[in-house]
Amino acid sequence: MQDVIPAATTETSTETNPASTARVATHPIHPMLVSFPIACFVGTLLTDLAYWKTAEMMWADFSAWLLFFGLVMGGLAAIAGLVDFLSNRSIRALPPAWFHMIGNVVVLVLALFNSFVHSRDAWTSVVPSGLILSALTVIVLLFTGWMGGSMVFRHHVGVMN
Amino acid sequence: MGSLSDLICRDRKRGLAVSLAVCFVGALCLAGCDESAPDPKTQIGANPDLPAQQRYLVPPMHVAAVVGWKQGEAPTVADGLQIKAVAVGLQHPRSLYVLPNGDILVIESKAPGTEPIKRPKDFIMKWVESWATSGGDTGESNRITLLRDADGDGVPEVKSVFLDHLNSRSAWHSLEMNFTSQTPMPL
Repeated sequence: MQDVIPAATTETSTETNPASTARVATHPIHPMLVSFPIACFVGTLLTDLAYWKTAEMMWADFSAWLLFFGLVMGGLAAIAGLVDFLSNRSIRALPPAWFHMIGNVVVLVLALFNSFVHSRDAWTSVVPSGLILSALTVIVLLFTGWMGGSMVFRHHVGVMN
Repeated sequence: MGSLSDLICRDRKRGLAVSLAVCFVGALCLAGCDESAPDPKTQIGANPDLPAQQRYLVPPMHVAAVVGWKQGEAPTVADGLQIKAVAVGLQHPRSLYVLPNGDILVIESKAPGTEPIKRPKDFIMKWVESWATSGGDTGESNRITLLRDADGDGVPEVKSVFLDHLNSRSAWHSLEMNFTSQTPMPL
């Protein structure tokens, strides 16, 4: 049927998976860190909704802290992710990697703006712009998370051979 | 900046709260000077003409620079008069009280530093507020210092701590109330 075995494409490559560069004992660091910003930014949306409905200052303070720690851990996750992205040509060759990278930069920029909005006092620190930014952050996170899933589960980025 | 040569002869309000209040009032004045004065009639009644609400990502901050007295520097006084520093090295003197015998009590006070951090913003706020103090955290404050010039030569022989461990004491009258409340009641 086939005279020549086609050169392995990135989609179906079983020869060598794109390796992660920032790793500890073969475990990539980036997936260890991303849980923190994801949980923090989703939590921010929930506490913003709670503040919107109750006007209880505690929820707005929760949001501010969640954004702060989400940004700190997200910054660390971004460093690990960028090291993987920039130091491996085969990762950069994957379209989902670009969507994942650019989308998550958008997430961090949105969260940074959101932090400044949340630094206002009382109602205007959340409603409406803070709440809208929190929701946008989570929507973009859903997309970038899906792209990250494509990178690992379809393209085996960081998976051992 | 950072010079501690506070001169008692001029009531120099260098406390943090006062500095901030001055900045705030100054900002209000500036804002007020920007536009010509509106018709007062538009500002009273059931539907006053209020300025539009403004929201900022980073609020405008105008913190006045702290200018300390240089060593030996003093205000100029009229001919025939002289002026001298009664005390130097005070920590944020806020107000004075001269007792009937001529003793001077200086109320030194600053923030006690016990305010809780409620939001991440509070870290940055504390940092910005520290610009408004003279020389930052320079030592013990929140106390009342006694100055006694018994021989009347203008240089006090006694400078001692009269009361300490006070929190943000800003005025004498509240202390007077404390004295009153501590007076033993006749049984």
